[in-house]
Parts: sequence; structure tokens; C-alpha cells
Amino acid sequence: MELLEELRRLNPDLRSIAVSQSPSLPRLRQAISLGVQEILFTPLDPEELEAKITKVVKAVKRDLKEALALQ
Amino acid sequence: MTDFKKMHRARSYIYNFLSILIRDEISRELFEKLRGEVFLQNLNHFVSRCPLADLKAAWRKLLSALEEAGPQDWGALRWEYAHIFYNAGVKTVFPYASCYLTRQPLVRGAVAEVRKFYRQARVHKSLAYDDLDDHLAVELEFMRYLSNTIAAAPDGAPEMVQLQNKFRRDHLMGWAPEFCAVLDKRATSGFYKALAEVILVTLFHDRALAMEQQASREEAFAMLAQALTALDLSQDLFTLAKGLIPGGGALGGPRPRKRQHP
Repeated sequence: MELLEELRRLNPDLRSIAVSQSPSLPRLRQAISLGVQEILFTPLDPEELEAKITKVVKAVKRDLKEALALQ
Repeated sequence: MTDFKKMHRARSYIYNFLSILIRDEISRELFEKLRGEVFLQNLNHFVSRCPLADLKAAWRKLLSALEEAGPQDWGALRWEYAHIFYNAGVKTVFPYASCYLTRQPLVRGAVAEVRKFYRQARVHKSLAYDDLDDHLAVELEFMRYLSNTIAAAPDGAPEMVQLQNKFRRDHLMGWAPEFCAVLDKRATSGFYKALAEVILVTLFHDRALAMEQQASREEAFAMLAQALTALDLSQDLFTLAKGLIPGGGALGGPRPRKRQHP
């Protein structure tokens, strides 16, 4: 979480996917407050991971398109 | 060796309990059962023997909230339910998938998505249930329905197992954890805070159970279901109905309900 906090400080537009090993509400709330887009739990499911990455990439592309259209 | 049917029946009981608690204000009858000696003893028995630390801790919080509740707290819990789930104030917690998946206050983006899943199981949101298809209570009841169907099928209904895993992975787990985090933040009573944790931890272990069989998880779920039997919850479908209807369901609601608070 500290790393994510630092990365967000350097790049506020950073997109992130968090992986949690335990169902902890405080950690979940912290992740949400740090702007994590997607949360995954262990054990990891490769299909689920792929779907989340695809979703985040799509959102990045959509935002870029919108930003370019505004220029 | 895993008792496949027993495990899915246990999951069905657990999802039924969670769906009932989230779908409406607690009825007086259920409140009294929850505070009743038999249920508290059962839950205490489960909590003291549960082999999974986080599951044990979450349900212990619910147990504590119930042990501390007096007869006068029924009204307070009803107020809190109405406050966090109905009032459009700063404390509102939307129990709809659409709000989390689309990041919009209240849209119907996820309704079509969940209907596809419901249709595959040949059920639809009951027209008598006056709320949206993507309400958490409906989705939890869908999990319960699938678990029950799997437990009852002679061949274990592999297609329903697959559907349930897909629904959990591609839909439910995509928003329910965030809902729990928001509920935990905005609830003021120990009961609803505990419920947020109970839902999150139970979903976490149910997902893990589907991915990797583990004796301790199966044992914990069986014990928990056994504890819940003391509540004698209705086994009838409430938010869902069997069969298919054109379009998958009416796109109405949630309509304002007439409510009288104590």
C-alpha cells in the first residue's frame, strides 16, 4: 500500500489492480481510497486477472480518446 | 472425502441467510430468532470451533452485536437499514451492482448483465419483489438457488457449477467487496458493520472453496450452515422466480415503498 501511495503521488492518473491475500475491510477501504480500479483475491484465477487487466486497459484507452477529443 | 451435496446445501443455507439480511429491514420475528438462546448458542458453537481465523472473527462480531442487542434495538436496526439503504443522504449505501460497476449513482448498466446469468439458470427476478435485478439480495439469492440446484441434482449439475463460478468471478466479486467496504464505513450499528465483514469474508472463502478444495473451509461452512438452521429460515424463493419471462423482467423500480418507522 505504501508503494501504491508513492506511485499515485508521482502519477495521480495511475491505474492499478490490487491483489489481496485476505478479506480485510480496512485494507480494502485503503485500496479504494488510493484509487485502485480493481481488486483481486487469492488464489489468483488467470482468466479473472486477464479480464481485469483488459477492463483497466479499455478504461485507459477510453479516457485517452476523450482527452484527445477535448484538445 | 468431500460430501459434494452436503457442501452445496451448506452454501445454500449461508447465502439464504445473507440475502435475507440484506434484502429488507429485519422483521421482528427474525430479530427475536437472531437474539434467541438457541441461535446464539449455535453461533457461539460455530465461532468457538471455526478453523478459519478471519471467518471466525467476522461471525464473532455479528454474534457480539446480537448478544448486546436488547428488545428495543429492533426499531434502531430498522431505522438504520432505512437510513443507509433508502435515504438519499450522505450515508447512503447503494446495494446495486450498477453503482459500483459503472461508477454512476444509480443506473441500470448491470441489470442486463445479471439477467443473462439468471436466464441461463432459467429464473428471473420475481415481479413481486419490488426492486432491481442487480440488488445484492437478488444476487445472493441467485447464488443460493444455484447451490441448492447443484446439491439436488443427481449428477451434481456441472453446468450450474460452471455458471455459478462464472457469475461469482465475472460479476459478483467485481462489486460486492467494495459494497462491503462502503457499508462498513457508513453503518453506525455494530450489527451492520459486522454484516459487511461477514459478507466479504464469506464470499472470499466461498470463492476460494470453489477454486481449491480445502477440508477446513468445507468443515467451517458445514458448521456455519448447521448454526443457521436454528433460524428455520424460509426455503422458498423470494426475490427470484422460476421460469423465463419475455425480456427477462420488468425494468421498473426501485419504486418508493410506503414505510412506517417506529
